[in-house]
Amino acid sequence: MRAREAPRARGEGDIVDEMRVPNSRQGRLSRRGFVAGGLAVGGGLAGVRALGGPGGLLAPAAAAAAAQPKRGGILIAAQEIDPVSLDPHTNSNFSALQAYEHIYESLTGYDEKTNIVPALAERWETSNAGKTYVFHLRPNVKFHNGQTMTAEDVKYSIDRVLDPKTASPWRNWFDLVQEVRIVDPLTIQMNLKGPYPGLLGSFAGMRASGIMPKGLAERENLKIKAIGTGPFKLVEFVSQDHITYARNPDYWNAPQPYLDGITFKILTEENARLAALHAGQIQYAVVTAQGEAQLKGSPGITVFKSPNAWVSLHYINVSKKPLSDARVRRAIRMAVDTNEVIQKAVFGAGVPSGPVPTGYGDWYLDPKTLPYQRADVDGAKKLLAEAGYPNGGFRIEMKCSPQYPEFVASTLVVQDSLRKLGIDVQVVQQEWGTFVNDHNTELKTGGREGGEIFASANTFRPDPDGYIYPYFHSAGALNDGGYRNAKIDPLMQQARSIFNHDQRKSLYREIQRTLLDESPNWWWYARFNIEAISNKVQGYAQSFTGRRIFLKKAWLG
Amino acid sequence: MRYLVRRLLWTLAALLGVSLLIFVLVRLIPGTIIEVITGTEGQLSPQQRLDLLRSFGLDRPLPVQYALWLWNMLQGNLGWSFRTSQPVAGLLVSRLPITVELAVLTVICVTLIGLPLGVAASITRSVRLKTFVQIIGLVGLSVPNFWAGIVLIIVASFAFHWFPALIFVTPWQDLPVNLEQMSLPVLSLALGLAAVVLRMTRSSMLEVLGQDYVRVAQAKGLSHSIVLLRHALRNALIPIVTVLGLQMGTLLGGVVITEQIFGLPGLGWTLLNGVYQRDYPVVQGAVMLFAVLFVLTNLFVDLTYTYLDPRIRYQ
Amino acid sequence: MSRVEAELRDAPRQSAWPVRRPGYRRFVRRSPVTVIGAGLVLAVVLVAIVAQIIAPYGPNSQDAQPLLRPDRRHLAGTDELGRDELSRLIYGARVSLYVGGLAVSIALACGATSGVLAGFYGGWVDNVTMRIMDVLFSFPAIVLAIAITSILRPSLTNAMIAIGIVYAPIFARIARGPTLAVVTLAYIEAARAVGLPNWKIMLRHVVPNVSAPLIVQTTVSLSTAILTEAALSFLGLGTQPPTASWGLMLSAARQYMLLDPWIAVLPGAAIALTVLGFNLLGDGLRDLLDPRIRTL
Repeated sequence: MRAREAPRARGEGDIVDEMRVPNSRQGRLSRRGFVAGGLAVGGGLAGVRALGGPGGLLAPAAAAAAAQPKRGGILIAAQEIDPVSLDPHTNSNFSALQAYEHIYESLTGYDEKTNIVPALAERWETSNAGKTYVFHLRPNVKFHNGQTMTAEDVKYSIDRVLDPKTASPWRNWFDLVQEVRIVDPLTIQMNLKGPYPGLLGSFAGMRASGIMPKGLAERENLKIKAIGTGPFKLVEFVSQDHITYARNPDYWNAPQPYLDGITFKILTEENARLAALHAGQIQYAVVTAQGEAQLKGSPGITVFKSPNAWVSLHYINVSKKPLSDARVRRAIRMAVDTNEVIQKAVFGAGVPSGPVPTGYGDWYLDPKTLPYQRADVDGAKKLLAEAGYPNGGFRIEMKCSPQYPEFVASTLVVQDSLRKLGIDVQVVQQEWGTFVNDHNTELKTGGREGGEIFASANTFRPDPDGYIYPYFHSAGALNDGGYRNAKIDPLMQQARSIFNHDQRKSLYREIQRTLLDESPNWWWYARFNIEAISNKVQGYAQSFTGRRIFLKKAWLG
Repeated sequence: MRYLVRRLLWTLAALLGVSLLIFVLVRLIPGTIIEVITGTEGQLSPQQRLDLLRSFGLDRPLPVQYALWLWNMLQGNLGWSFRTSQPVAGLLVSRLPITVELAVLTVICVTLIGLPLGVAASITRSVRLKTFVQIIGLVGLSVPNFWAGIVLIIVASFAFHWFPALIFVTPWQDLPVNLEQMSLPVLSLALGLAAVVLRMTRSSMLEVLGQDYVRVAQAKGLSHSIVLLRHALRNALIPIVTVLGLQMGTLLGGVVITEQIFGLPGLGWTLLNGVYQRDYPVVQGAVMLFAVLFVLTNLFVDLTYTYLDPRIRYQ
Repeated sequence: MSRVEAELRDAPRQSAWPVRRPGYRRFVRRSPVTVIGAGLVLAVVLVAIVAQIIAPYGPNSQDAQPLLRPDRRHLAGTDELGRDELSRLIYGARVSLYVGGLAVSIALACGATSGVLAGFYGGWVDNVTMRIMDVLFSFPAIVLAIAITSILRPSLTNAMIAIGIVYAPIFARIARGPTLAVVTLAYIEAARAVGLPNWKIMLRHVVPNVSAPLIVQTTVSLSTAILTEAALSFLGLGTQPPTASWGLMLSAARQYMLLDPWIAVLPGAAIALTVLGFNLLGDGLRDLLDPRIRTL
């Protein structure tokens, strides 16, 4: 069986990824054989010990800095989903983040290994058992309109997020911030309601932490205009069509950025992105694993591939029978082969994962030790019988959306696998807005209405707490159907309020093991982030966050 | 003239019906802009949701919302997009030319392909040629729009290493590039419609050619081509023009998917996105615009009738 | 042309069905397209009927490796989830016919009857009905389909109901024309004077004249319904997975066009042949029944 090689650093233009898809040219494999092939996970899961940041699995593929970066050139890229709006505080969709992350920055940021590094704050101190933070801001940072950044702007931005009237969907990352005080023009003090180890990461995560000039939201329509401190300025945002950025000549981290500008064209159809890449009309695009396979013969294109904080899963409404019984949920999970899901949903470009995505600092569970890797139909049947459903005999409904074909595929694999257990699965494919609506209804009504199972994914969270607490704590806001486990409730509470890394790590280990056993969600895999880039582009590095943070380091050779 | 006035009044009634239909329909679709804003990962408190609804004017009773919208629309104000807060009228006006260009180019392309083939199929005596042309024409009609588009994209890039520039340019900015960008979408749309025109041309030519007056013209000694052009084709154009007018509806529908695939920022793509993102003002405005376009096209078609066939006069 | 001649030309036949037409064999020779069309349609219908007998596997069982090339065990290879492609193609015929049948039935039921009633009663009935039809017609079909399928539970049936509603105006228009022509004729008045009830008049005089163009339009709409189902499946609003419909198979194969063109080409060809068949049949039927019929 061909072993999976870990992604290598980019050398003389060779293709980074070596994952082969088993196809009939290599001889027909039995189903069992094919499925076992993908099991071997590349050795060396060097979990980087993070200093308050998750850290990456392996250093994401980055260019060996052979030549010196050159200034100039405009990068033309393709974006898969419309960003909808550029407001850094009121958006929840990932595509918006990908759009405004070049314009705005926050107090902290990430490096290539997803460690937290200073950004707009040069340094910081904590005191009062972690309940007080003092940030020393970087002097002489200019906004895109020429203004110099001071503590007033920082306070304004954070207050805007905290203000319930702003309706920021990610405000809960800053729930524990009680107040923001200006000490002097370059110093800000934050008082928290309680210790929260995830605060620094919350800033770096950029979901609701962009710093903007004081009063900007009242003066401008932030949905289509943006003024920040980032490496690129916004030139134009034509909704649904394209976004153009220009180099920020006053960027504080000179000599970056090197590109004169970037244009992101929104192309939802992947075939169009592939065609444009192949014909050289664009130099960058995110592609699926299938797309990557189709680009194999394309000259002048390199594919970057590395793990990514994207955990594909199914949310389960645990309020009603039979899914309220952990044995049933576990049995269902046991009957499905994880690697088959990976193969069919993302064409093999994924790694089995638990609640915390594989590769996330050292918080994740080693995929080799995860349960349910191979399907165990007999065990599942026994478990079902124990729970009172010896031949299955019930029906469950699984919702998914064609907006994300990989979720549809994973749901279909589950459906097919459950036939052997005598469980009838009805797959309901919904348009994304309807899907979200149903899911929200389910959350709002505590599981009474809305649906039973929802196929979705969790994206990057700045702290492992983000994958656990909101979903499985009895007071969590995203708890489907009111899941409650008295044993791990206090553990979750404890883990999010202490700072000792090792203690937290062992807590989260225990919590995850319990969750996997009880299966209030079904976790499948952490998806690879695959970016196809023209060889003319140098200096780019991927980020575990799935964002394009390092376009500021890229240059056209 | 009286006919025109009456026709106009009934048209307005129809447009009113369209406005009511889209207003109701779009609000029946589950989910609102709030769901789009929160997604599956964001969290908002119930109070925040209510406040957001209020800021979009969605908390008012439906008849009030409808009346407000109608009143504003009559004054030329189509509201503001929920997503980007931009004025809808401006947004639609900027997207309209692209869709119109796409439609017009398609109609031209379709006529250039379908008309001659249809005429040929009608006048030839060879059964084999007739069959061949018919089948070739119909093959175009038999392939789903989106598939033709995708196949064209792939063939163009992977076989010919060619793809048009991505950022859309208007014909006034750079005509050659604009035509390049339009070429594949127009082709994918034209394939299907050319067949319809071919068919209609053929059948109406056949009918006209069998008429007495054509035989009279031939007996008079007029050359074959003059007979064809002056008499037969002109009368055969009536049903063709009808078809083109009615196909506008199909065309505008096919345009939606084509624009999505090719990334053309036109009215169809704006409409589709608006529906996905529950941006009511954009959806309502775009549908009204589509309806107006459709109605105008039909009016134009009907007026062309009177020119083409003086026997047709409306009381 | 004198008025008498015009009226004679436009006089409806007593029966639309060809009672005494010379030489069907001559017809076949003169119009092979109709026969080809009929043959294709017949083939699809047959496949749909005997699907369970001739399909080697079930349409949804993911029992094999994905993306296999055609071989002994899977004559058309397997699709992206490891299901047998040939079986899915065969079962897809059922879906296509169901799709077309349902949509057209609704269009006939709603549209044709409205058109006949509108033409027959005239006056404000005519105006109102045709304005409603205008509203439906000038409404972008795709939006109507999206709206209806999003509002109702997403399913193929609901999608086809939406399509049926979208097609109704066409049928209404086609039914209305001949109805109008019949109604104005003198002998209708005579029939009414004699005391024949309206519905009998409609049945005996209107329906035969309307059926020919409606039949032709039916075959055309059957074909476009299949194409529309493919478009809706592309948007995720048509067939629900894992149902094997050609449109959904085509849409899912988009991601694999260069990797395994087989799974894209085959359903596309199936759609093309079926649609072609219906169109050719429609053309031929039109030639057969009345060359003056216009269809849309």
